[in-house]
Amino acid sequence: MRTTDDLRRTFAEHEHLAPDLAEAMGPLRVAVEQRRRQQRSRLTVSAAAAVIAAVAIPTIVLGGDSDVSRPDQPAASRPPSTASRPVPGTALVQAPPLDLPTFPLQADPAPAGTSPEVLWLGGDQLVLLYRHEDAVLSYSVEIGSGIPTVRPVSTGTCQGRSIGVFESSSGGGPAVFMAFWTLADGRTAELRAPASASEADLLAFCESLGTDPLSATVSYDVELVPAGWTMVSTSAVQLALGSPDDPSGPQIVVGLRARTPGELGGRTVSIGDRFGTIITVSGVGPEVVLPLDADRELRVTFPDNLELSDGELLQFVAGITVLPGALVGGT
Amino acid sequence: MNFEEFCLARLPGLLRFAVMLTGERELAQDIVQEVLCRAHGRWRRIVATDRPELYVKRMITNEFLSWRRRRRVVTVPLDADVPLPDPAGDESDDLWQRLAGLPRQQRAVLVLRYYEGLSDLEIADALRCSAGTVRGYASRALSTLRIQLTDDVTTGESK
Repeated sequence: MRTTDDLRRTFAEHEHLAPDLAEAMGPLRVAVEQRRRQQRSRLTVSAAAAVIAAVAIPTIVLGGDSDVSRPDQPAASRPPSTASRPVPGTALVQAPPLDLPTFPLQADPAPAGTSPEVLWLGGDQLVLLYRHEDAVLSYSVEIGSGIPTVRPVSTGTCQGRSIGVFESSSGGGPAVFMAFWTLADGRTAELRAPASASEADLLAFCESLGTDPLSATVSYDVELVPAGWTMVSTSAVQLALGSPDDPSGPQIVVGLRARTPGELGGRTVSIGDRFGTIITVSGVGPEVVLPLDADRELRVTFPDNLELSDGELLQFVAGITVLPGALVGGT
Repeated sequence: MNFEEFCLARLPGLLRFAVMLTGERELAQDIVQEVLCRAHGRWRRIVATDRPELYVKRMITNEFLSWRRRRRVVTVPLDADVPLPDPAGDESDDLWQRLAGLPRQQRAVLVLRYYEGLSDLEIADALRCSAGTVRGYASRALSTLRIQLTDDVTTGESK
């Protein structure tokens, strides 16, 4: 592949694979009609359930026990606190206990001279950000990505293990150096340097990585999550939630930002005893902004295809606790 | 513009876009159908946006990124008249096959950048991430493709 023009040409040459209008429109009409019938059916069931609940709840409350201060269920019969209990009337559940990720390598102080900011820590990927004067350097380490089968441009050692160094240039831009090696437990590690780093920088950085596991930093406690969702990455700057089956898919991202001056637009909403704003940009999912003090605001972005009502979004935000150590992220 | 008019005018373009993302005709049709079924339920809100087509394309991108792999029955044509793919292929087919092997975010970034012609900021907006992350995905995807294609050339395994 000589240039990115090859990509454009490849895309154009495969447009013919798309079904044509006549082929796709009929099945689409049928599917839309089926979906509409299903929704009508669900609405009928929901309405019936609401009637049943309206009758049943007073029966339970008044059910022969005058001690109204007693919990509505005996403690022994409650589900374990670790269970993801549904929140009645919503698509949210109690957040399961966090399964904090650890990373098999430790980030030591950087060549750039400042301590690294862990930008992202998921199960198998660590992204480190170094700020030095006006420069920002980003190193990423990924576990288990495999080792390329092509011949490396050079080889060396890192922490006593053989490494292969590969060079890649992108779109005529500067070369990017990557190192691959095998950890003591047999998994592969891939280190990717920023474009400004030389091969020597890469090797020095590789050598600086410690072999003690790096524990995740958790900056936010979340009380409620959409059913089936859990934490997929965390750092001092943000927390991301997603589906454990698809951790790189759509995510809810929780983070602190510097307070936005002026009007945000959007709609003012009540969240607990505070007022926030819910913003929906055309073509993008909703975002909830909650001012915390004069300098900071909590921002929660939701994917477009997460089918929660505005009320559920606000319930989710109301369940967030900002923990000490949470840092304000960039814009 | 009502939903039916929108589909008649825009469905072919949406299907082409989905084919670029998925690399597969059937999966592209599944994803577009699923997205349009959901879009139909909130059409008044979507059509009120400045560019409903852009909105729906973002829904398609998100659906592609979150689409769970399903067990699919692969049918092989037994009709001798149906031409089989050329095993040698050409450079374009080779690149197309390699694109299918990329992680979905990386492929989505390449499609949005080189097929849709979006800027990195627009892609970041669509994918709900930073422009730096977009550049990272693009860089990684292009690096992977270059390494693989160079490997094919040097080892003579070109498809």
